[in-house]
Amino acid sequence: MDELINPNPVVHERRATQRHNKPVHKQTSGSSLGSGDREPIDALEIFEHIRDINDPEHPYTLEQLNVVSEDMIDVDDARGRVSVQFTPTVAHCSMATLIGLSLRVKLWRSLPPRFKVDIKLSPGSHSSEAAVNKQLSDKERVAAALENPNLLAMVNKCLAGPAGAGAGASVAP
Amino acid sequence: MDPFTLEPIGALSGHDDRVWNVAWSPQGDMLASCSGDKTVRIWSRRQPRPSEQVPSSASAVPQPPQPPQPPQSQPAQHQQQQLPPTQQQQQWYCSAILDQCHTRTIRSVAWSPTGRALATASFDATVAVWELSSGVWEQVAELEGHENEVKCVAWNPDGRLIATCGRDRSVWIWESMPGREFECVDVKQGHSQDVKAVTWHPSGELLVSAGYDDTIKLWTYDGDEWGCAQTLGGTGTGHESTVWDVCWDPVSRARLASCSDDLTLRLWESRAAPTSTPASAPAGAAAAVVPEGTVGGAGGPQGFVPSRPDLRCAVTLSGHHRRTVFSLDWAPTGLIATGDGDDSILVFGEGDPDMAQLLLRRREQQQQQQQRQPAVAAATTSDGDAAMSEAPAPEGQTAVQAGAEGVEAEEEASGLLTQPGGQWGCWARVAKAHGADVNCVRWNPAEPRLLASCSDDGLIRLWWLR
Repeated sequence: MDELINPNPVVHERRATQRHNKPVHKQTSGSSLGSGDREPIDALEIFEHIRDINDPEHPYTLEQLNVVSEDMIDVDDARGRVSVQFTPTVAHCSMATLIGLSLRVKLWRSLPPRFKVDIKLSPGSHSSEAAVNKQLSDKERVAAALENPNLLAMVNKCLAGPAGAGAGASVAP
Repeated sequence: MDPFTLEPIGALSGHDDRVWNVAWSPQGDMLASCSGDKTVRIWSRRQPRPSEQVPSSASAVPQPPQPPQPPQSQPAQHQQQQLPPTQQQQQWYCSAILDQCHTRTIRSVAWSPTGRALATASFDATVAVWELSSGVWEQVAELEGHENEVKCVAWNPDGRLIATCGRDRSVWIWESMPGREFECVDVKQGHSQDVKAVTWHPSGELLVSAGYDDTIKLWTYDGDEWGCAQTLGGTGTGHESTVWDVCWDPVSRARLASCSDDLTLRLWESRAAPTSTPASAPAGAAAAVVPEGTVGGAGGPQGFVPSRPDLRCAVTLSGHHRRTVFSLDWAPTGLIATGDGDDSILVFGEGDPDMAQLLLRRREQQQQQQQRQPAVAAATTSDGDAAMSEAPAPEGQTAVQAGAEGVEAEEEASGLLTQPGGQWGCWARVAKAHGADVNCVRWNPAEPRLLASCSDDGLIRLWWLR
């Protein structure tokens, strides 16, 4: 890349997170292994899956650049719905689609198939918001994109663990 | 409680990835499916056991479907069903796998009108044509030209032309030449984004394309080339997001249905058509009075001339779908099925659903009577109306209501269950029809109550309308 889209991004610390919505019944679930006792998936769990995705152009994670945050995630475990909004560092970011695709692939690889995942730009965060959102929600385009070896390699690079740790390494499950 | 139900009668497993598309052979005896696993599978109906086989004069004619055992009880005694659903399931098996041709996802599959050839469209930018020769499917042609992903393929009604469309925003028309060659005769630019679907009007005079630019385009032939005769869409006049599928009303051949990412279903009809009859409070048998000239639908072109299309959006069905509507199919019964990203299958009908249910019961009774007289049954199966002859036993509850008789007689002849011009409504709904998005739904052409669906869950399911 000749020129960085955002040469000087603001970098934030990786926050320590804790479960504030921890279900009360959790403590008792060890005694009964019934399938009904599965702990519901919450926003924090989704955040844990995506916080360490690498930014496509900077050696930082999406969390460090504030592209993703826990409060921009909505989860309805019962209905199997996950909605993630992300905020590129600049409004003309040409990497928005790639970031969205990386989020989609990471969650697709991490979540049970019953979940339907919607990935969108946070409102007002991008100059081509509607176009990027439409593209990210078109399953046919996403499927075709992921059959493109170059694009898939770029996605996998974003998903290859903490920034700087062996680019090109194989992707986590 | 929905007036109709779709009863699951089978699941066909074998694909290793999402199944994008299914297509019934014109005779309804085979189903083709294509998948992200880069294969096409052909599912065939198991032949009836020899003891049940009806002597057929011409072996080339597909065997009429045979119920495993003749019905023997009255409809009222419906507790013991003569044909358990599982019997249907056992009749389908994977008879062929077409592989090692496409290098990427196969997105669409289409039968030639004769049922002897198959066309497949792939993300690898090619379209393949296959023929069945001495029991083996062979690739006989490859259509190359699209820049990248091909998303849909459709054969015209006389089998001479193939239309394809794809991500390169174009619609291609190919002509069949001697020696199994196909030559591109036209490339239509016009859509501003990728084209998701192409379909031909039953007359062959009109080609429809639709896609990511939220529009539907109607193409006609002027003797030299195909030109865009009409664009359906644009702000406030059509779909508000990607149009995923389109289908003609097979009975009137004068209405087009479309479904979209905007969560609606739209029905388009001729501007010259009389404005849809305001459904006069459908309550009881009185609603059965159908406007003159629309009964049966088959006769009335309703002002529509395929070579000079002038469609407008006449009906918008919204509020029924919660996620993208990926597929729809309009059956000869008048019912429209949809498959969506909420894993659901819905069935829509127009007119009075109670009346439709009554017609269905009536027809089942008649079939049973015919089946009790083997000679008559054998004769009936030779024409197209044999469709219903394999209907599983009715559930009973056939309280024949007075007042419906007149309409029934007329509708009986057409095969319609619906009353054109009436109010549209959702008549059946299967939530969680699959474990993931439903990508395609298709009614069997020979048995209008048999529906096939396919999904991201890798399965094909068969459903029976009751």
